[in-house]
Amino acid sequence: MFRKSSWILVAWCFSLSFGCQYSTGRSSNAREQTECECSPPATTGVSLRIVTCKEWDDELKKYRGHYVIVDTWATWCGPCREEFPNLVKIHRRFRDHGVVVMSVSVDDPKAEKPALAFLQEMQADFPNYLVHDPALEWWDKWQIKGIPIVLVFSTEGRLLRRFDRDDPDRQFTYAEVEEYIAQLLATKNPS
Amino acid sequence: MRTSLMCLAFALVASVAWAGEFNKKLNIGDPCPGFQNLEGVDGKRYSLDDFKNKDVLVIVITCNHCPMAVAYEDRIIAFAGKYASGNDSRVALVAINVNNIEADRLPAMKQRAQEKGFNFPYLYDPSQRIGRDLGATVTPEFFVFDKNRKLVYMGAMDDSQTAPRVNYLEAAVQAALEGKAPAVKETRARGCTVKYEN
Repeated sequence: MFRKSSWILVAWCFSLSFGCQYSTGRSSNAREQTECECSPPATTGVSLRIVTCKEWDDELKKYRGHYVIVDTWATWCGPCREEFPNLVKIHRRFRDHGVVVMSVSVDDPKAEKPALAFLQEMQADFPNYLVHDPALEWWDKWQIKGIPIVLVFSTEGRLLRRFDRDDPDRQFTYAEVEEYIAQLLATKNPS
Repeated sequence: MRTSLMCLAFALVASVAWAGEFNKKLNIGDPCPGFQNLEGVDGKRYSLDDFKNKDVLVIVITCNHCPMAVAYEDRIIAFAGKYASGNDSRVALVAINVNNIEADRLPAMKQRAQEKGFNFPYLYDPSQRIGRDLGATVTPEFFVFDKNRKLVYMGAMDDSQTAPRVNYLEAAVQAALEGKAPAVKETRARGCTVKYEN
C-alpha cells in the first residue's frame, strides 16, 4: 500500500526540483554580465549580501552553467560553524571545475557583522548571503527542519541532491557532499 | 529472482510508508518509545512508566544552547502551567535533552532550569537513544501521546516563532483529552539540528 505520506514525498521531491524557479525575479546588469559558460563570477575578498528569498533566486540564476552547492547555516548553529571549514575545502577543490559554492545565513540581519566576521575568519571567498526572512520563507521553501543543510543544483539551476540531517541514523557529512560533486564532474567529463 | 525484487520493492515502499511526513522514524499511531532512568535537573531519575497515570504525555526534545529552543522556553513553561502542573493534572510534559556538547550537558541544564524556573521535568539522555527512537532531529521538537501512549501529534509547537497564530500542541492535547484525534497531526518542526554521534 502506497500511503498518502509516500505520495506527498514523491510530490515534494518533484516540487523541490523546481523549487528555486518559481519566482521570475528581475534581471540585473550583473546577471547579464556574468551569465557565461566560462569561470564563475569573481568574488573579491569575503563579503556578505543581505537578500530576500526572491532576490536569492535571482542570484542563483547568475550561475547557470555551473553546479552550485548551497550551504544554509547560522552563527548560532554550532555544527554549522564547526563544519564550515569542510565547505571551504570543497570550494578550494572544485572552484576551477565549474562548481560554485555559496553560503546562505539564516541569521537575523542584526547578526550581519558577526556573520561576516566568521566568513572572513573562514576565508570564505565565495558568494555569501544572509537571507532576510522574517516569515521563514527560506525554511518552508526547502522544507528545512534543521541546519546545516546542503543543496546541490544542476548547471540549469535544478535541485539535484539534498544533504540533510532529517534522519537521526543518516546524517550527511561534508565528505559525502565532496564525493558526490566529484562523481558529478566525473560523469560530466569522463576521462 | 522476481520474488526477491518484489520483496525489495515492497521493503523500500514500506520503509517510506512507515515514516511520518516529516519524521523518518515515527508515524502517527506508533507507540511511545521507552526511556528508563534518565537523570533530571532535580536529581531524580525518570522512566516512561512514571507517567502512566497521565492521560496525555508530551515529550519535547530540546536543549540549552539553541536560540530556537530558548525562544520557546517561556511558551513551554506557560503550557506546563496550564496543562501539566500538579499531581492531579491529566497531562505530563517532559523535556529531554540528547545533545552532548558542553553547553547542553546536565550542569548547564540545571543552571538553565533554575534561571528560568522550569515547571516540568528536564531530563538528560547522553546515550541519545530516546532522540533517535523518536526520530527527533531538531530542538525544539514536540511529540504528543494519548492515554494508550500512541502518537497523536508531532512537530512544532505552533506556526511561528515570532508571531504564532495556531498552537498545534495545545490543539493536539485538547483533542487527546477529549479522546479525539487532532485536526493537525504532524507539522515540520524547525530548529537547531540535534548533534547525533555516530
